[in-house]
Amino acid sequence: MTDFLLELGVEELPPFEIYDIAHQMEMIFKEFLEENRIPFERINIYFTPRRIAVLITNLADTQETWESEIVGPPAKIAFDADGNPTKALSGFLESRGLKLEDVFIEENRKGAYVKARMKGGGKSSIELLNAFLPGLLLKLKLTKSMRWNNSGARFLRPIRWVLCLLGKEVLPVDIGGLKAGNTTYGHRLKGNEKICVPEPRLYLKLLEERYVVADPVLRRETIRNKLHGICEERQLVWEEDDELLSEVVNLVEYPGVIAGSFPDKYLELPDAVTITAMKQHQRYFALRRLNGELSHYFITAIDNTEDLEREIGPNHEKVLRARLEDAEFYMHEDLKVPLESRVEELKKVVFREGIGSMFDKIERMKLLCEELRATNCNIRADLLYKALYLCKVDLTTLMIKDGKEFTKLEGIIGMEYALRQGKDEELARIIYDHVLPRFPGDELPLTQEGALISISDKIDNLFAFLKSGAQLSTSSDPFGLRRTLYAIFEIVKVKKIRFDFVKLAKKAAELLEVEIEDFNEFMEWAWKRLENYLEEKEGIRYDIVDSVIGARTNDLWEIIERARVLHQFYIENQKEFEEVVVGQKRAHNILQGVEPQAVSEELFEKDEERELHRVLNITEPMVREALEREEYQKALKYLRSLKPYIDRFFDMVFVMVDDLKLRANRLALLYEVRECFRLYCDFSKIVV
Amino acid sequence: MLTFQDLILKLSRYYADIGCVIGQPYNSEVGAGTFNPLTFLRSLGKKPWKVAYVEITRRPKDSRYAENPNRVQQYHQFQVILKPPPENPQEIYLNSLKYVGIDIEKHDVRFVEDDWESPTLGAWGLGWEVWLDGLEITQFTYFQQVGGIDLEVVPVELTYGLERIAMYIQNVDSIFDLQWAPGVTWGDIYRRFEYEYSVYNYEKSDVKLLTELFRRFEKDAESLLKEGILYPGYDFVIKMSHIFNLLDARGAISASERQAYILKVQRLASLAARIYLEAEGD
Repeated sequence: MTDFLLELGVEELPPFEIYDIAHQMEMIFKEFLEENRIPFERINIYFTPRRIAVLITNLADTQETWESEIVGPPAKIAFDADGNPTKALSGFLESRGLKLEDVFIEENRKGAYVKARMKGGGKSSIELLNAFLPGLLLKLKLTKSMRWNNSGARFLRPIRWVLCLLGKEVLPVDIGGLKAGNTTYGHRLKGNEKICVPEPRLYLKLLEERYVVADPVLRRETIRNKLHGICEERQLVWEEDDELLSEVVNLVEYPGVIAGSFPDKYLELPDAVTITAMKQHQRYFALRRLNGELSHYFITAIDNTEDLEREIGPNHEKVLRARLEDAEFYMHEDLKVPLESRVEELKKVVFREGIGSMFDKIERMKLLCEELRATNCNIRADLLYKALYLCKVDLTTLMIKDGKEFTKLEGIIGMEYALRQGKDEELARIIYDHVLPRFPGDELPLTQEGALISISDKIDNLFAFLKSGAQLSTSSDPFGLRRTLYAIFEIVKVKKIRFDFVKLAKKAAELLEVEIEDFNEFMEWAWKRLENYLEEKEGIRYDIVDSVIGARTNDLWEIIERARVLHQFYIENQKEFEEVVVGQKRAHNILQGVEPQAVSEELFEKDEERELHRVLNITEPMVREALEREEYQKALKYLRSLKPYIDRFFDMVFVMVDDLKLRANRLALLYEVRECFRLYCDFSKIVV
Repeated sequence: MLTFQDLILKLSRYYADIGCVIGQPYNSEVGAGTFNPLTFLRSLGKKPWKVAYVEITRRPKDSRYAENPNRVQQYHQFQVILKPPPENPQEIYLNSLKYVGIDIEKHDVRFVEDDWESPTLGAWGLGWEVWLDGLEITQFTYFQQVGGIDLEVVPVELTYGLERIAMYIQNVDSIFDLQWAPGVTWGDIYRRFEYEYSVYNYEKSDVKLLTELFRRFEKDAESLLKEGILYPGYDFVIKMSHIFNLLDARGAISASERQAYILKVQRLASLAARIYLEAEGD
């Protein structure tokens, strides 16, 4: 047993992709060891921007051995009449390297066959590794890769050295045109000399002596702890930002952490601008005071020791100041122009090629908002329309047109400028609300007006994409169509925005002159996405959603609520749920091709018929009323109360009797039952 | 004190010593040293090529009327091409910083992922922006494609931001305060130039004239290139690109037209690249 170490020394890898590559490496090695049955204790993966290392502890010197049975030709064709081996048998022996005495004949299900026992495994780990390692790079899935020498190898960035040890022995394999040795390098600035690694277990320690913390978990914890330490000392708060931390961990080999500050005057910029200036490009951690206000301190990880803070810190501060200075210039210039007078400029801002200007888009959104307003109460119309015309004007500001980090602040800039120009706070908030949610898990509009504008904006976006030829059914969703639709569902669900989805979509499609086939395709796609959405977000079975869609209503909120309640029923009482569904499916099958007809009480022969009819006549109006009041649980309860009567009916009454009059009457009764259930949903679509 | 001109001289000396041809800026307005034929054309094909030169770089959109200490519409790049790439380009680069007097051991030097792309030149590559204490001082790129052509031999491009490095070395807070030569500041040479070009770029440029010039240069570029007359043809491609930048700064190009303009330049730049390769015969 011995340890194995492979280190690829690279030029700085992209910080997020390192995680993926490290994971792939682990999986590839695991698969290699398991497939070849080489026992080992543990695979450790270490990485920094400049290296990826695989350290396998207690790797066995040889793979396991095993025996397996192989089957050759049928016995009857293996030997000729004289009992000598035929071509079929000798071919088999040759191909497997066997002799005649190695084989035997055994019966299996298909008859007598020539068989042999083969020994497998037992190869040395060195031999297997030597064969496996040169092909390592080819096994990696790389998003963006490059060539850097004439070996033909591809990787994310050039590989500059390879270290490969099995115990104390170098495995001189060729990876990416480089021959592996037993040397690595320390920190680029603090200890960039060659380090000889005599054996794998010394790897981490030797690197640490040269200012390289190769274990990413340790770097992460160190940075985190130092961050919190500085915050505590200065009475500041760092809101955990996992994404930024994960990135910063892979921007340094040595986790130095220092604090800096910027002049107070920049705190007058919108927080989002200041934070973006720190985070987006510089990867600085923004901090808040205990009262929640943004502070003028920031923290940054440096790839050097903290004793150099006085040399390094002021330079970082200077860089940030320049970025904030730029932002201040933009804001100063932007605020000279009232937001209202920017509306005209929207006529010159192209929304999408061939689909007109941003101003045209707003005109369409206005018509959609009118549609939405009709079915939603408590909408402040004056605010709605004022906000509608102002919500996109920030596109004409220097801050957004910057084209770099601040461009992502669409909506926020609109809100902040509105506030700075003395606009109503609610109005400002609606402007911001209209871009929400921007990504999965993002905050939702606070105001109803903002929710309406956001929905109108997003549905218009969807049809604009369709109009310009985007494909709905691609799995990669390059235009974010699925995400956009999900955002609409999310707003509807949480903000309880009520509207006929088909009607609104139709209007949006008409405004953009989308072909009717494309609209139909859209609706089909959208309903499917609603099923996916509720399954993903609420764990509701797709067929339950399917049973509700189009049954009675096109109101998204109502569909979601009905599906939720029905799903709840399924969770609470699976048996009863299934029985109800089975009953309805049975009715559905019997009723194939049956036309509605009045039930005649005189034609009832059995009590079960009479009873069912009586109870149905009482229950049906109750179900209707409950649904009208949006008391879905109640409606479902009433429907469930019908079950014993239906069961008894099916048990005691034979529907398909020879007497055609009787049969028609029983079908008519069953028809009424089904129609009553269909008030809620189409149960026959549920899978049991 | 290392002056701005010393910095240029030192970097030139350094790269001359490792075998680079020391080139000169191109005599037409360019948005980056990459446009200079010493980079754009010579990156193509398999022939080895090592060159270093200063490029005077125009960015009309960065006009700030000489009021912003960090942003100007014309600045200087130091451009290096190493083809084929040496085995230690990062080390060569870091040593150049030491050579001009930056004590990198005492600072925070990092190579931060930044894949470079020039849509107008049909070029892209993988690499980094180099940070010196958080300040982006150099773009470091392994070209993968130039003029829409995949490169078999991958050149390394180093683009130093000279003003930024000089500000760092001289520890000044404004470009305009840089010592260009003893007793002469950057501002002495360029302040009025910056102000007047800001006025021109944002307020005075003649959109009609520029639009017309773009069209005519495009026509000329195309007919020259189609006749195989490479350098004059490529010069008009460079001019198209600059005019596009001027129109863009003036706010005269809408988002939809933008792409169309870029594609027009890209198409002809790619044509120039192909013609160069044909003539070079590799």
